[in-house]
Amino acid sequence: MSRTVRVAAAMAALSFVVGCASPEIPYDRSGAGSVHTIGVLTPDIPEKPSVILASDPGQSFGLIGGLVDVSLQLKRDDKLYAILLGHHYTVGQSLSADLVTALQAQGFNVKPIAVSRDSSGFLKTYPTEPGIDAYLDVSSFPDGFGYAAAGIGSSQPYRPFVWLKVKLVRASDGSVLMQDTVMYNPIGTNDKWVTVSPDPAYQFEDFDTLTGHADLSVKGVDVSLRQTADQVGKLLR
Amino acid sequence: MNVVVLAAAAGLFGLFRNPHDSDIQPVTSLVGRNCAAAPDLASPMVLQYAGKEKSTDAAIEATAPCVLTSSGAALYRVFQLPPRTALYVITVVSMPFGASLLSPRLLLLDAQGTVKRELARDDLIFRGNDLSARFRSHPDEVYLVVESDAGLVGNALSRTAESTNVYVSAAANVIYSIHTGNDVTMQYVYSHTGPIEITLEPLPTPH
Repeated sequence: MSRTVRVAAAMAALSFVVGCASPEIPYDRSGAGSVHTIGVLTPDIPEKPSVILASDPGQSFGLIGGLVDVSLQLKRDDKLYAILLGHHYTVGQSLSADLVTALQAQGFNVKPIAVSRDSSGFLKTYPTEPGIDAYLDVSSFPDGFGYAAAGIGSSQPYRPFVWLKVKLVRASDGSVLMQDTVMYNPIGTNDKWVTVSPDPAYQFEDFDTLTGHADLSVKGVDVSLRQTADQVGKLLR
Repeated sequence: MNVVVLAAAAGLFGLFRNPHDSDIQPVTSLVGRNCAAAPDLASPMVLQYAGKEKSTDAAIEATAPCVLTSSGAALYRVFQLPPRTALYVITVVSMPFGASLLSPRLLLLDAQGTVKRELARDDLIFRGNDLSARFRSHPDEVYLVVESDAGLVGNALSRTAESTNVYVSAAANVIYSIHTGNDVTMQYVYSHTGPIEITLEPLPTPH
């Protein structure tokens, strides 16, 4: 992807947080029929993190300032990604494993199902694996995970975030049994999103502090994914 | 410089909403209250629903009736669900008020007063700043009892929210914007009391 396209995509990404609303459909365990085994599909989440500085003076200088901001964000993204790679941390694998654990904790039999995704978003059609009663489809927002700070200064530290849309689809007829949006540390509020407050153990007063504590910053990503997956599991209680 | 503030736009993605304005007082002790062994279903608040989304504001106030639960004395309020066979979605929301928050325990009862379902603790989730339960109706459930969760009352809860603001101003015929951030950690104490909102709506169509 060219740098211009990446910049435009990153600028558009934040607006998706507001714009991409899916209706929240609550799961009803007693009414869902015989859902015992859930296939957890390979999650749709970018391999690369985002490091979002949600407000800063550059945004006051129109398009030029905005483009400079996005350029700076892409550099931060690259640095955190390098840290994750250096720790052999793969977000897709971690999230998938966390989802399996979270669903098992709710009493389901769970099987990871590998799928390839041609585009972002929920799958259009679902596999037909024998023995699977329902599929859990997880698709992140374009800025799927990483760190975010509301602004500049130690009072507005970088904290982990994970932003997911989730859907449980019955295998036999494709009906939607559950659908929701789970936001770990959203920037801003929406009373329809399931909102998970960030763990205060993983906050960094600025980006240099974040990169200077590589082990802790990776653990912050890991914990945020696990706590988000736990919340997804609780939607299926 | 003649600066005219044209607008103070709410945050880029929505502000951290202020705690609910309310006259309700937090209650963390029910010592001295005479509590019944079971909720009194005789005078429920009837929830209206004609097939379209309908929200009802209510509250559990200090004067609410008291019931003995397995966790201790609790305040409660009884609602009567609409007699519909068609499936609908019930959302019960508890909004923070001041530094207090009601953690509700929800009981769904049939016409005879038998508890068919109970929702509490991990069944409740935060949506935005509000603690809520969202679930599908069952045709045999007639009453919704909203109780305070006596086992949680008095405990503290901390939640952090980040948001941004955009202020649009004009000076010397130039319009400009100022972007600022908010990072707020709110401390709440669970109370027996609190404002609630109950919404009934059709099951959404997925897209």
